[in-house]
Amino acid sequence: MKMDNRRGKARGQRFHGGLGLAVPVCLVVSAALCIGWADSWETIRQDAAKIHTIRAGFVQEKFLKILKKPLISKGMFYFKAPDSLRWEYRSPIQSTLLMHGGKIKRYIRTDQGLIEDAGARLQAMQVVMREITGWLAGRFNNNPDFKAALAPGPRIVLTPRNPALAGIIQKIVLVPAKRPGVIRTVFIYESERSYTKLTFTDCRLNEKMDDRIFQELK
Amino acid sequence: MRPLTLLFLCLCLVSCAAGVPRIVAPSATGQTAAGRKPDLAPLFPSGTWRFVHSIEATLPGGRKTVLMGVTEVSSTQRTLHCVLMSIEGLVLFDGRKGRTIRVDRAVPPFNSGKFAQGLMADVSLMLLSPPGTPVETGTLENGQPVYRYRTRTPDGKPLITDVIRQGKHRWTINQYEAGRLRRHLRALVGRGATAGTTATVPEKWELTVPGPRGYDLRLTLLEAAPAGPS
Repeated sequence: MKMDNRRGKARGQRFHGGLGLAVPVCLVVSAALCIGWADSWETIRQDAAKIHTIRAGFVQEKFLKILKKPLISKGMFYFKAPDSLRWEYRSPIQSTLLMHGGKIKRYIRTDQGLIEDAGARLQAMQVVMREITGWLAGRFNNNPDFKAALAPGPRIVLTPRNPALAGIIQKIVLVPAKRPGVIRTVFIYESERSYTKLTFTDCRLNEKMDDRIFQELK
Repeated sequence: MRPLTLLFLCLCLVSCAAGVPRIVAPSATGQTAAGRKPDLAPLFPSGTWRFVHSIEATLPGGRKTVLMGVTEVSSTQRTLHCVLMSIEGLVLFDGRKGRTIRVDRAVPPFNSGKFAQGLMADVSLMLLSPPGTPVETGTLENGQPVYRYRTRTPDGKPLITDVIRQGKHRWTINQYEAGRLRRHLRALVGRGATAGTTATVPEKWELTVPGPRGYDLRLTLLEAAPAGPS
């Protein structure tokens, strides 16, 4: 029992604010983009195995009780199997998260120039990076952080396994597009009054992608 | 001179520099005579407003991060509702301040009582005019007009707030707790109405909290809109 508590605490520490929390969410979303027409876990696994690269635009709408209209951010998303990711916000704040070869960095453009975000927690990242292979292979139901369920619609509903993460994210709902291998919308629910909707546009699969996309801001 | 003595003298000089400055001359216009409030309209919003800011934070040790903040402020009720988010939109802190502070949601490391108190004190300094009327007005030694307010912290320490006008678009607010500089705030007030409104509110805030656990915040206004009560 003591051991379980310690493990729970240690895992809870992975989900501190800033990048430590952003990374698991980004990875779930990136993995979600690889899924196929979600009618069974086997179909998901088969379709995910066919995806090598993804390029998509996204619109992020943040719904909060305090806001009368959602706060909108826009950007671009790039992924290359097995573990390279570029999550780039272009407005209203310019920020780029780069993951490649087990390293993660986030850069933010400010009035003072380009700064590297201190929120990066390398240790947290290394743990999450180990999980990405499972997600990208469509093994959502083996994920140590989220319990996955297929729901009518179809939808994939991810709920946190550990209480520390559950205190931050209630659930993530993935809505696949009709085109196999493409996700249309991701909802990230933090509470009844606060959620984020990510809508992906112009999703391109398996195009040639240079590694520098994941290493350099350009 | 022994190094220790030199260090002591340096500390004394720094301490003096951060102390409450003397007001050397009364206001020439007398516009802030007792019972009359100075015109701080360009600096503090009047009524109920909702703002969205990007927040660039320089933390102890020089580490930097950027967050987004949504704030609803009521100048009449003197209330604040503050939401801090990561760029990805995850809510890290959601709290309100009226007579007391209420935290509805706080994710580590934003979940300490001290953080909530510090955040509300920072935001109050930016968005709420100091309570009451200035007890002293005049100019500082550098000739800048100053309005001085005196109150007390919740734990009873004397709190002095100097509001200093530095030209048409720039203001500085210095807050001294028990005689020592606690917060230094610079505001760049919009050169025109804020987009979509008829109001002029600061486009940028730069807050410096000195000390070994001090930090800097640079806020840039992204959205401003009048708001009804929430």
